[in-house]
Amino acid sequence: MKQKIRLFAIFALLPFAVLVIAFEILPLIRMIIDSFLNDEGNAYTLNQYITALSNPYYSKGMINSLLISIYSSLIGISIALVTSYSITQMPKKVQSIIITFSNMTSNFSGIPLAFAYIILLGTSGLFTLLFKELGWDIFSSFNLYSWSGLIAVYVYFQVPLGILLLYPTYSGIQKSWRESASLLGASSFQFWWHIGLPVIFPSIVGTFSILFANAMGAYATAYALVGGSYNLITIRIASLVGGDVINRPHLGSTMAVILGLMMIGAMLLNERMMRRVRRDLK
Amino acid sequence: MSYVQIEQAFKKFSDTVVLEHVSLEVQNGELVTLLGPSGCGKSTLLRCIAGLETLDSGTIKVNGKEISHLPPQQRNVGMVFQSYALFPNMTVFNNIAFGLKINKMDKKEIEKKVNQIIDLVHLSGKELSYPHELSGGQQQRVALARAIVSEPKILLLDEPLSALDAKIRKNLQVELRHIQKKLNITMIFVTHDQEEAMTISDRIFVMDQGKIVQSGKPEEIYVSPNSKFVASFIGSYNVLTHTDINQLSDETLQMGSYAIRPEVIELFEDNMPSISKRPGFGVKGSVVNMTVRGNVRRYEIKSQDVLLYVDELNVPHKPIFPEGLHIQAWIPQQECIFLG
Amino acid sequence: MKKRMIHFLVILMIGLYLLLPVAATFLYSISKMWSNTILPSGYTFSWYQELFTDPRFIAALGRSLWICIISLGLSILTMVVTVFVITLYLPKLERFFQAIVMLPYAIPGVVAAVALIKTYSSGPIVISGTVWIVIGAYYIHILPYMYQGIRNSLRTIDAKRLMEAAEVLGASKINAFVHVVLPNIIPGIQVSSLLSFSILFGEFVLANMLVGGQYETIQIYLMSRLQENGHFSSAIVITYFVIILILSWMMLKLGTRLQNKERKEQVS
Repeated sequence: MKQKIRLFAIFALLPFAVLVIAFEILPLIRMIIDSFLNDEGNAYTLNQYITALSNPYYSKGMINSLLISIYSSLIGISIALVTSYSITQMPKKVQSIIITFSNMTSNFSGIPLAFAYIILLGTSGLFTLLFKELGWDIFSSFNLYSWSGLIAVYVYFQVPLGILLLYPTYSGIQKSWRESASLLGASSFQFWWHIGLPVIFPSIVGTFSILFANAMGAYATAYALVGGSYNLITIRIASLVGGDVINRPHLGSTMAVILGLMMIGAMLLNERMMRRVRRDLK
Repeated sequence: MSYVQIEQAFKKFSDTVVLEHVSLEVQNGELVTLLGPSGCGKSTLLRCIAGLETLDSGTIKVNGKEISHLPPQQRNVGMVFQSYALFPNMTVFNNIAFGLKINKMDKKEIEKKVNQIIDLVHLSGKELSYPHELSGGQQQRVALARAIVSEPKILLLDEPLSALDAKIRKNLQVELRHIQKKLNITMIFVTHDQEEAMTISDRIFVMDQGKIVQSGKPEEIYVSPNSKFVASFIGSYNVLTHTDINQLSDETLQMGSYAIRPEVIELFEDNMPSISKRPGFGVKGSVVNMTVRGNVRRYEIKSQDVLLYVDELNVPHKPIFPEGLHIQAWIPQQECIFLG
Repeated sequence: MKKRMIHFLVILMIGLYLLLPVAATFLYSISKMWSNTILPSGYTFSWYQELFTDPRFIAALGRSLWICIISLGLSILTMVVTVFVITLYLPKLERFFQAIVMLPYAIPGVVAAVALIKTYSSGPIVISGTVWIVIGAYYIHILPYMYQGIRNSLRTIDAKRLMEAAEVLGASKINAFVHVVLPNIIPGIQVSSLLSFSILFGEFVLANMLVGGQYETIQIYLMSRLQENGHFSSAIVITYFVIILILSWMMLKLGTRLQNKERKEQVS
């Protein structure tokens, strides 16, 4: 009987297995192998990795991506931390409306977002003109198509994601802890400092790593803003594989593998953190 | 002067009155219990004393000082929660030391006091454990230690033992009482378990729908409940009206309801010769059911359409009356407590 | 009360911040001209008119819908049975299965595209540049969402117990699955389907790198029109966003209906 079940199960799993092998496993393996090929494609070498990490053009791309991701994630998570707490202070019905709103705006990313920001802060953008009219010079030095502009746009799609992830963790903070702390003499600030923040800290770290991964992997947004002229790791990979650089066909795979590893690292960190949260709140 | 004085406490939650002009007094070093069913207002009253809720009107005085307008931080009141509320990110030691640290006590002093209290609640060796590593009973002892280490004026306990297993519960009840007497702390305990209330309290306040319906020593309340509500809440009283009694035994009593404790009724298979001289009356019925509850046998006796509970001590020399047996129940006159 | 005000203000500010780009885009899509003035110089719906009568747009919309539906359909057909079988009968494989299924979550579109291109642009199977590679890529892309949705559904209804009860009453495994488990997890499948659909609908990188202009989806179309005419592009953006909103709203309705059903079952 058990044998029959086993057989049937394997049979049922076949289509899934075929698809996954064909479109996930095989390609990933192929890509990893590819990353170790030299430019001519006839020998295995670590050169591509060395190039990726030491060649200033490519390493700069990685550093840019890292910095943008870290900055946008830090800003995004700070805003999300405060905002999601404020949301928990609202009546229950209002809370679900706000979360729905956040959910919907998190869909506004990629090309549509870049485009919207061009309308707002581009050279003839709404705010650019508005501030020029009001005589505020600060904004004329802000260039949407520069570094800071990209971070600003990234922050926009980090915030809703951060809110959606952090909002549920606040429910893990029991009211009785706050009451207990206040009876023992602690002020609101002391409660958050000694108990509240330490308890949700793993969640914060986990969320940060997700935001970080989110930013690292983003492509469409930057591409829509200034095409290939931004030196980000995702843009580099796309141009390498898209045939822009004919004499380095395998470098793209290498950089893709590096990026993939970074992302997996971030995800694992999040997993670890969430496990701690679950243990603490039991 | 009483240590804790609550006068005319009144509170509404939207349209429902939760506390209806409640007044009570607690003496220094007393352990009183607020006893009542869910929703009677006992927890609300406790939380008002702690400052976690505010009264709409009325005053709360501790040791002569009015505290109704003070935030919880400044009331110097200790509280133990049903869910323990231990801080998950801190060890047992740090949990207990928290209040002392906030009040900027000297580090050496803190160490001394915390270790003393850990000894008192029998948790030595667990100082560096985290809450999730402890059993329910241990966690509750940490919660207790944390609340009393800063020597608060009064200690409030909100159904602290409800979440524990029966045996651990009984042990902690005894330990709690022991610690309370040793440190002479004034305690206000909230529970819905009347047995618990009887075991540990100096005095009990029975509450129903936002009012105190009876107060007094446990024995007093048990022996003389003043209303049908208290009688049915405390113990398993039989509550009969004078018409019931008349129907069952031809005895005529004053109009009203009567509470009869199950353990005062005596059962006889045949006639009851010698006892009939005492004032009282007999009821003829049959045994419907018998359950053994450890050291007590509980009989359900049906007479006409009235069900009587009769408790007998479960000792071997007393014969067990089987189901269906025709029985005579003797009810002493003085044990019919008039309820009004 | 003062604290409430502060929180409300915070939420209001962030809400405005999030709403602004969408509002501005909408304004742009209904304005006649808006180049150097703060506000548009005239309003019109002609851009939408032009958009909905543009055969290229309709074609792109059709293509987007088509590949999304096919990928999704493929996923539902294979995932439901697979997750069910593994969760209930092959628990030892579950960890491994989880790793495979959650991996796409960590692989950004660019990386997946590279892997697929390297594998299928040469060698025995060449599907690079065709619809099929995109469908395959999309199938993998939504694996984590479909997996989580189906698994959570199975957990919520305690599928194991249901199967046991049905089998004790005499049903075969297949019968039990079809009549007892399947109907109860349909709401869960619906929710994750809608989620996956909206993710795929807004997907750009994979489609662009794998087929590009050869199979123009909505996003690729948008990208190409971006430089031409801002008003037109904003009309596209708003249309896309409205579709997503409708999907989210449907998801929400299904989601709450699910929750209410669960709550009713808990209470009774």
